[in-house]
Amino acid sequence: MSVFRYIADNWDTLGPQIETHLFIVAISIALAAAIGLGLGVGAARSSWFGTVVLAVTSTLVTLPSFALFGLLSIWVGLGNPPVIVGLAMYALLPITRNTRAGIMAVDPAIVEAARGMGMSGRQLLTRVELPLAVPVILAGLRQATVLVVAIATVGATVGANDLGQPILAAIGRSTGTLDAVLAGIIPVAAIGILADLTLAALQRALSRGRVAVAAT
Amino acid sequence: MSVAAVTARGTRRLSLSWLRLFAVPAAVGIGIAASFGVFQTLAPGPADSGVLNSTFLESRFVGHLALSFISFGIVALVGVPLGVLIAIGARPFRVLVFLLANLGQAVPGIGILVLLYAWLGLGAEPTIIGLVIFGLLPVLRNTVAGINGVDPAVIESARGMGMTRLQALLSVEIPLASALIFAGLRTTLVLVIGTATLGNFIGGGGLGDVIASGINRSDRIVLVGAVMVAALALLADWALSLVERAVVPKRISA
Repeated sequence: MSVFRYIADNWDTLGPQIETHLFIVAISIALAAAIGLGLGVGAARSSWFGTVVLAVTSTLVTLPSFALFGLLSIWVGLGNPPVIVGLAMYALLPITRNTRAGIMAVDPAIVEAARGMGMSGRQLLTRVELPLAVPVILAGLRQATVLVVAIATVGATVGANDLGQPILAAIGRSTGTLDAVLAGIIPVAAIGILADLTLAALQRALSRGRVAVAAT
Repeated sequence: MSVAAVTARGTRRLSLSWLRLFAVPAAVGIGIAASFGVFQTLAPGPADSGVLNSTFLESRFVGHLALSFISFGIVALVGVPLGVLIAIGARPFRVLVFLLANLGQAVPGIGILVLLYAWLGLGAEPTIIGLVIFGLLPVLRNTVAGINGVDPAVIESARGMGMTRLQALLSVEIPLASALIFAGLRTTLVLVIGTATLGNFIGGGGLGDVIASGINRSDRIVLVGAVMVAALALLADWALSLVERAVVPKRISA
């Protein structure tokens, strides 16, 4: 296919764009995981906090990406920063929601037993609840990653040099339009699918021998 | 349970639902008010008067409404019946629907739009076709999942009561699946309004025009465009959630 020749011929520009894409996704997911875990634990502990956090994070994913990135660029400037912050905001919902669900799904009898052994609240969380919630939390991380890999493409509209660039550059070309678009879409889809499969494998490996918990 | 406890419970549920009802419009109102304040702090740009006038903003707003609602209308009218047909009749297509729906998540919306540009050129039509293709997947997936998720025993008893296959479908299966179907419709509505913001790159018009004309030039223009799209997305999702509350039978949730 001519797309692959196009990708090979334009590797000098596409290579760095793939790198930037991966960089943006990695940073935003790390950011969202750090914040989302904390919010999720809080949301599992207090029902009013949970309601507020879920309402806010689900409102965030409703915001159109071009609007959110544009808005953020007013304060953090153009380029990668608004994209990283915006993507982290989108990734919060699946991570927070699943952390909360994972902790709340831990059998109360286990929590009771841990308390009976004399564990403090902190020990209970780090040694019992979070480890048991790992498969559900990973499911959230997986959803967040697939979402963020695709939306990162829109970052090109606010100046990020990621895989949205070949797609935008295709507009207005007289020849090779299709090749240029596909040179953006194919790597993005490949990254998304690979990330999904990797995290799915990790999820399976870590949930082996555990009672299945419904992940939403 | 005492009478007082029952009443207290009833009132609490009522107040919570009123809060839910008005939280979104109230938040949008506060957001718009706050952005007026932010607007004043941003430096005006030379391009402002050409974009920030009622004629331009209105035309792009109406254009955005048209792009979004025409696409959403087509998706709803085609997607739900098609999903029902696939769920009850075409087994092999079910796997294909779920596969495509999962794959669709990995493909960026702007990529679909530019693909259609490569095929059909600039304009509103390629934008609408792109939005329909992109928006169809969540509706199809949720409709198929909803109908397939209905307990066969329930259908069996409906048939046992003397309902025809069609009656069972219309008065038992579709109502039971409606919560999931609505979840798909809401996902699609938000997706379509958001992706329509990228329609400007292929000449589709819409509010993306406003944001794009401010990027690199004027923060004030970006702010106005972004706040308009964001408010539209939030209010449209909220409005559809009201329809959902009215239509989906009580006790059924996704």
